[in-house]
Amino acid sequence: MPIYESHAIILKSFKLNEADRIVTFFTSRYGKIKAIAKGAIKPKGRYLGRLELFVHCNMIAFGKERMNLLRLNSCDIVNSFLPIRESFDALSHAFVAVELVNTVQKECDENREAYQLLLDALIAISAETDRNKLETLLRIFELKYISCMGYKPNLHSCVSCTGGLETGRLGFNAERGGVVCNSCNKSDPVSFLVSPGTVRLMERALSTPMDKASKLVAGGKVLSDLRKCVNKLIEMHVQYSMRSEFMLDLAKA
Amino acid sequence: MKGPKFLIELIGLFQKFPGVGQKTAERLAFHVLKSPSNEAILLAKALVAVKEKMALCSICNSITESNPCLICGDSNRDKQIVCVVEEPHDVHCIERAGEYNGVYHVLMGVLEPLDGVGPNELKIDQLVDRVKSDGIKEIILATNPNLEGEATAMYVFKVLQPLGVLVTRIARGLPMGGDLEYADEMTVSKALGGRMKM
Ligand SMILES: [Zn+2]
Ligand SMILES: [Zn+2]
Repeated sequence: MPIYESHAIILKSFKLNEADRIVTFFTSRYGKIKAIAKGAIKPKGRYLGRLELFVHCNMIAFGKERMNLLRLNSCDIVNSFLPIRESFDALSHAFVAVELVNTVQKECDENREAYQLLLDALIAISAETDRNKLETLLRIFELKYISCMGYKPNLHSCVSCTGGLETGRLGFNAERGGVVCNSCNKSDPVSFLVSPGTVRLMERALSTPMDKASKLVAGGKVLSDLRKCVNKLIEMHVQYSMRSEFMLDLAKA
Repeated sequence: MKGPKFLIELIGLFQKFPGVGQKTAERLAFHVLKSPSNEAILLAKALVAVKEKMALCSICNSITESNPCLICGDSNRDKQIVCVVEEPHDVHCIERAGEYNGVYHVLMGVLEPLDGVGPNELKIDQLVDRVKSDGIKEIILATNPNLEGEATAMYVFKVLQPLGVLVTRIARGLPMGGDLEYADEMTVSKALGGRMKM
């Protein structure tokens, strides 16, 4: 029986019955995999507290080739991201990030870049306390993540007429996958106006590694434009609206 | 499995109980089969009564036969302290310890962000109304110490904070009879964070 041993981030964890849990891991070596943790809920069980969402761990599981449910053998915590668990603001943003990855990532599809992105995003979120910066980090993560999954928006030329982008007013068309010039934006019913600062921020976000992304700042208008662009891109490509998004509204209230 | 249809049906029903597998379900079914018929009738009646007479207390949402429940209606209980729990079953667990003399508020669930379960699905507004009108001095948050329970506790705290009521959280740490060697990292961190002067 092959052994699966990898660093991983827990994307989902739920009680199967009185004793067992099903845990979805995003592993660095095998991509997303699911495993059953036998006896996980027992008060003296060796997994208690280790199989919670967001936990960065070192896991070992057994399974047959092509079997879609492995059997967890051990799980040791590398980082439990305690600061995320202790702040409602950080927690809400981490939920949305993890839900996106769990939704988009296919099982057994190895993607180290995506794994590293999520890990760096969780590290950044756990170190941040300012709500605006938390949302900026989340949106940058979402943009980088969907780009890494093959849905990178075109920010350098108009996606309608392929012409260059003059400075000034620009539009964004998620269906066509990027920025449209001012004259195309006027006649395009789908695109919406975005500030040039938003496009610049998206460019910088795509060229800045996630672990340096806390340096990027977005003011109120840029952040709300960025939110709109990224949400439209996700809606377009993932065809799913994040269930946990309501947590961000609760955090703001 | 082969056998009379009624027996197989009973085994199947027992198997739906938490923690009951095929073997235990068979043992239970054969136990019923062997026991005197008045015992089986008592069991059947008790099962029906649980569903028919069960109601939720209009004050605290715990399971009750009368409204308000025996705890809310008890003049010896301290109505100024309210312990907030996830499910009606949790009231029973705290009562079993026999230490608590305040009253309860059952939220009827927890925030489950990944399943879209938000505060509107929970009895949080009702708790806010109680705090506003019932002269409550302390709210004890006793949701489970897992991610959803913690998220819910943090959210309820956020909602209650502006009302000026004292909000406390039950201690999280090592279980009695537990062993540091087997405790996970998160529990050890919480236990250290929540240490008290001797
Ligand atoms: Zn154009
Ligand atoms: Zn009551």
